[in-house]
Amino acid sequence: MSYLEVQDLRIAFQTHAGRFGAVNGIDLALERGEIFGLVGESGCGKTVTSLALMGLVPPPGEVTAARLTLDGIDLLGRRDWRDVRGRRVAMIFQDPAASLNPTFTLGEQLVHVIGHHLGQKGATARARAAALLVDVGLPDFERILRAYPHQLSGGMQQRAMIALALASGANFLIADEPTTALDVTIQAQILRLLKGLRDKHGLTILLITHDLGVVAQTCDRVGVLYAGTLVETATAVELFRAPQHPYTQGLLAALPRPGSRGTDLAAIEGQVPSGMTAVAGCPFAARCPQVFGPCRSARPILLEPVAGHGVACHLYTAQEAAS
Amino acid sequence: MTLLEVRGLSKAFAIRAGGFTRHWARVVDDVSFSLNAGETLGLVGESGCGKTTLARCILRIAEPTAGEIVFDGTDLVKLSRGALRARRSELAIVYQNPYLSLSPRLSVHDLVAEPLVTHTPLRGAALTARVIELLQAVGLSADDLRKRARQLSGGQAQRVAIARALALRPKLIVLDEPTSALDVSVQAQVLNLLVKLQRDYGLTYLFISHNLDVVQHMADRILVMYLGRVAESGPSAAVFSMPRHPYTLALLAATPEPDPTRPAPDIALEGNVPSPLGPPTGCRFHPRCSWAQDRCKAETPALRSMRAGHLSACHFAEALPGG
Repeated sequence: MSYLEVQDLRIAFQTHAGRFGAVNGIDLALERGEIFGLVGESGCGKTVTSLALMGLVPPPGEVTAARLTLDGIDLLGRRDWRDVRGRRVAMIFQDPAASLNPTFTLGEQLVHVIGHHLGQKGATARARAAALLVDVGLPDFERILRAYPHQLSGGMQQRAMIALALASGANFLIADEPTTALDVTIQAQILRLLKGLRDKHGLTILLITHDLGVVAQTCDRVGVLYAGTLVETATAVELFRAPQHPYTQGLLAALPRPGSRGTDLAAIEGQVPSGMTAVAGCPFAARCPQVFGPCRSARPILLEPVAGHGVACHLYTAQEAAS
Repeated sequence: MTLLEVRGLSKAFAIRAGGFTRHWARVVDDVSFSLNAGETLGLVGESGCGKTTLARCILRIAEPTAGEIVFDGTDLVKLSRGALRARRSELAIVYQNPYLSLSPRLSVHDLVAEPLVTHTPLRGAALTARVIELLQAVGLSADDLRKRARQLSGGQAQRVAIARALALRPKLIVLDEPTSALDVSVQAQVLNLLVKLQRDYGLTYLFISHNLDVVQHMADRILVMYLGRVAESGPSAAVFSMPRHPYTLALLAATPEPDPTRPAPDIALEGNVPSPLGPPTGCRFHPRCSWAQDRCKAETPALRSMRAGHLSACHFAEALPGG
């Protein structure tokens, strides 16, 4: 059994204009201690998927799944999330300045979380807070503990946010675009820190990003989302070496690279479907350069033409049937 | 032919430090460069390096503290308000986020027509015809005329912003992170459009971006800024293949490549960008530079020529790896 198991996760929002399917049946399995990247463009459902793991999908969102377990604990239909949130799963976001409380010092925020989750108080809690800051690469902890968030740079704020996320003893970290607001040299520092924490503490990390470069440099395995469906999943090495799904291939081809100057980039024409109208076939069919017969009528299921490399595309369904 | 020549441009902001004490933050400090007609200059650097302020000074949205901006033979800094207004139509700007830069209350027609109404006698049917012509040039159509920005996707809205910038047939367009808010597949569409428009209309671009892969795809020449000063400049191919400033080396190393088999960057840049309020002495990059020596703390390096058109502001440019 995997550390995190998600089967047929669906998240829908009932709106005035109709039912909006944000996530339309995805399967994920994360092993302990791995960094799994969830990539996709705006609106593909990557953030709302992570919110479902914490029970934070806002109303009127409806979450259903065939199975949703973390470390053997059932997350489905749960009313009381207190022993999951913070204690087992912690989350960091894109903008650390918006996640930290501007009216308390970092010391106060850390001690509060440590007291709430671990019951430690006073000197014990402060010692743990200091150790956490050292752990996230802020050796100057005396100053940081007394500082308010606005007194720190963006990179230091994100480090402090990571310390706060780990303060409760969580060993599953959801990082939602953790470096998107940061400069590239600071991004490199934060990504190295996340990998270091995984190596040191065996942390499992779900990294949500739109940046394929970040995925390649950080993740062990990757899932590619498109319009609320998982279209491809593989190890990072495999995904970049031999992308199978036309959408993944399109994304990689659309990246400007050294040497691409003077040539047209291979843009994926068209727009992402709105999610308001249920698509009968493959959600990518309208933009797919290789679209054929069954794509517009039947929804492809995720198959593994190569072990460990899943792809939801009729090109491979046909292959499977033929063999 | 040189279209734009910037000489010794500086911009300082006064910051009140209590009472009558004032500090000056030199956000742009003695920047010089030139830009040939029909070329693209890529302006690169991290947050706070002064790249946006420099662009604003060139358009005289911000008033420079010192220096000359010779645009097509005239020094824009010396122009009176009236004379500047007459020349404004030759310069245009496209911002990062079209939903913020385009008025939410105006229709696409009115957004694109606005500069034409202000600067030309076009009205009525002739005005609409010109608006449709501009929309077609950026890949939109007359069907979009009555929409508002929020009804458009990010890529479509950015196309409207580009049409608006094109309206007065400018010679120079400042593109300030024009694709940073867009998804990868849409970014490719917009970059392809910008290249095509440059070819069709003989446009000159000042392309500001923090994404080195995008800049490398777009720019003929590169200007790397650090804390308000030029660190390095030169032909794109030379700067990317043989960077002659440690900061450029660090930026390149920190950029995550979409290739997991490439080892993680080894030249890691520690620390944060210092405040322009009290910039480091000597070379402003020395506190973060792994090649820094005593001389770097004392002596400000001048911008020196390495080879044809390739300039570096590093005392030890010749000794850097790759040379």
